[in-house]
Amino acid sequence: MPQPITSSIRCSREAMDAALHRRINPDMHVRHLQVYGREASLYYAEGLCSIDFLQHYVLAPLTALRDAPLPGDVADGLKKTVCNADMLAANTMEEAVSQVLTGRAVVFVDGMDSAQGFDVRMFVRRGIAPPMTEQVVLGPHEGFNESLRDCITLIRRILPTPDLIGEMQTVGLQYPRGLCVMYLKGVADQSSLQRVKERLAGVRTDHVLSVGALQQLLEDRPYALLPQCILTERPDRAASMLLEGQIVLLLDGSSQALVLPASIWHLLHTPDDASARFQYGTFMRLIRLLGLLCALLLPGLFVAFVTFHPEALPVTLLTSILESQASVPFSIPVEAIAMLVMFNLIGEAATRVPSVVGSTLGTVSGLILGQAAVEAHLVHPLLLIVVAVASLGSYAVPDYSLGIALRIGQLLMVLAGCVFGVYGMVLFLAAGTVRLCSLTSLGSPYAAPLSPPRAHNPDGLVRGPVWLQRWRTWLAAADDRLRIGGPMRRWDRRER
Amino acid sequence: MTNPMAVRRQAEQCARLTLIRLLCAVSVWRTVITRILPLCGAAAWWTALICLLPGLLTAALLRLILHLTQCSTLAEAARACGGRLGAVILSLSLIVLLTVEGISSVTALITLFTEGVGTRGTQFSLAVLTGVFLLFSLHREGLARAAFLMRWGLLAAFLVLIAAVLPSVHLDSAFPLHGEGEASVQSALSAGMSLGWPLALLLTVPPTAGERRLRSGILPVFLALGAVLLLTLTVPHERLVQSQELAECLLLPARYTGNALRVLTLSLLMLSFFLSIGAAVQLATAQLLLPWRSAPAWLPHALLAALFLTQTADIPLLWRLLGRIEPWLLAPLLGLGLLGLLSALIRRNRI
Repeated sequence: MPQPITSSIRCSREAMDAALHRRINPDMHVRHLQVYGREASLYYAEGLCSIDFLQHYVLAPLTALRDAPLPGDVADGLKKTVCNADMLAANTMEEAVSQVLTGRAVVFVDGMDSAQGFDVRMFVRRGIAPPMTEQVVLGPHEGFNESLRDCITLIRRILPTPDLIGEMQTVGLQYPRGLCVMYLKGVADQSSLQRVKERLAGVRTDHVLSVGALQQLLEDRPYALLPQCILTERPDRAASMLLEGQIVLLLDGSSQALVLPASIWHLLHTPDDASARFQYGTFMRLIRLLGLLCALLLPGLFVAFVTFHPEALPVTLLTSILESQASVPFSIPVEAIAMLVMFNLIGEAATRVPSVVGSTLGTVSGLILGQAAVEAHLVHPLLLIVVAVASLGSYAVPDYSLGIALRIGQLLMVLAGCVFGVYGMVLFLAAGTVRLCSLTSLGSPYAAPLSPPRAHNPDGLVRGPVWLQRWRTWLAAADDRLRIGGPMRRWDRRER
Repeated sequence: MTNPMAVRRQAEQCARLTLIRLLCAVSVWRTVITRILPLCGAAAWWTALICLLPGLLTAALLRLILHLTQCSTLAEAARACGGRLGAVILSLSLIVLLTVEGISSVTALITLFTEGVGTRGTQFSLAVLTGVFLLFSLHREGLARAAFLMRWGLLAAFLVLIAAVLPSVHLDSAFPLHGEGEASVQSALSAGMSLGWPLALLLTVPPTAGERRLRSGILPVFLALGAVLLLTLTVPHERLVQSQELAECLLLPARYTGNALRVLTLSLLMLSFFLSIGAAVQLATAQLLLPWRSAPAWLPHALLAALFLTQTADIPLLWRLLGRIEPWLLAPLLGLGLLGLLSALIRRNRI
């Protein structure tokens, strides 16, 4: 039950002091002053607001009102006096506390049954830095930071249109956190938007720590191995997805945006594909696809062929494998699983150590451990090459979550290959493909537009020329799919 | 402006049609390889073409009924011609046909698994394993979408195999044209009489814009028959008729390819069988749901489990039993087609 603000300043002070635990919370400040000849108190949290701004543009004008005659509407009088800061009324104690905790300075005046919050917010925040996990060669090098306001600004700078809507709300019941639902009005599909809002309203948790946690609370199939939303720390990627009719969620304190709905193909694309000429973009995509297939299938196929179908291998290769296998004490499947686990271990360790040491650690441990293992006759040299290529393939996948899913799939494929050969892998692949195709992201098929078919630009496995990308994706509103009518290269006679 | 819901529905139907096309091709391939080829050897390709005719004619007859009754699917036409009873009879017939198809494909797949590829495990354990994978994959939309997604991959693998086999083709292998003689051809004709029955399944799905269901369904069937022709031209006639056991028949295409291609051939076969079993189970369940409009969600899984339970039986005996039933699969569809035509004509004259 919300506690209303009473007109007695004494009661308001007691309630605020208790709610903010001022006795033991030294960063919760209060200034007592006289306004319009009445007692007043200004509450603010140190570190969440700009003290300079507060002193010059809020406290100074309020102090000047000490002996001013009482106006008919006190709130209106305050608003006109403190005109440099936005003012927001709070009618309950909970609202007033929430305003203080989000960086506003809240003033209580004796005789008023509401408080007024002045926007003096200024948080400690990181500057705009290049993205850590989505580096590109040709695109911009700006990444989101943890400030919600900065993230919104970065997107607004790319899409300066009033149709870009950023609806603010909070998520988390007990310890709420700011969240911005961004979409392009008229381009985003209304039913998808409605679904996002319903799901957000249905999130019942005390607090959402990160955007990854929010992802798990919103996904269609949280038990599936594959991520059904896109996490990006690039404003340009978020903007391009907004243009495609997708919805972007920005969470205060998270340097990544959550984009939904998504398809598996979105997870395989990078901003470089669009920035580079279409021939290069297509080539890089095909290389990435090859990497994905290598990562998923290569170790399993090696184990399956050597264990079950040696007749399918060239004789010289088979002889070499069998000769060196004689000096290795473990079977090929055990070696393969051990090597894959070791490579994952190196990857994980390299991620956790400081970045200066990370790449060196990865190279040194990969090379030295691998060579030492071969020289000690613990692993087969060919297997080392296979596992290294497969690991490279998994790191070529641009999406971090998909890369991890791929490495789990890789281990399962090796298990299928070592128990039932290539045919076990075929069964596993078939079942996996069916499960992939049965997934949805916000109700939209995960493997679309390839299956089920949807009208789409030449931008799936192959990246077509930019002037042929005439349509928004199938995720956009049905009546605003065409980006632009007529040829994009009007000067070109062939295009006219 | 196009209606997005209609577009989505059409896309799902398109995917479902692809799954049925795959089922048709797998059914025709399996029947020709295991029933017709061992009987008439080099004459199998043209015998199979003749065997396909009754199925094609029945499908054309059913299409005519759809035209006369102005219906888009067989279920609607059955309801228009024979009321609720007609719909129930059609559904029951299709369920029986699809169940037989499912059992045949499961038997073929598990035999390929146990005898073809030398995997460790008994018929039962491998049936359980495959069944678990299929249970995991029995998603209403997912299976059809997966077939749609994999269609180009399957076709590419098929073309690679064809390209690899082409240099080994000897036109001499086409002779003797009449195979093992008139009697064997007659036996093959009667064994493969119902070869084309799955084509009727294409009419259970509403038509999609710009795609003719029967015409598009015939293409994969002819691809399968083309593969049979290539097989007869590659493998000497004596070898073709020597293969009498189920495993021998199924492995015949793999025996005459290179080592690496053998793995690809068997993988392609297993993948196709896997998807077609799922398709048979799903279509049978859909038929079961049609007249009653409600059924428990576990029904397809129960049906699949029942199909896999047949693998506990004596496999040669089961295969012989299926061999007795398969030639008659077309009969209920033909009978229902003729009755439906009569009813549709009477209705039309009345109007």
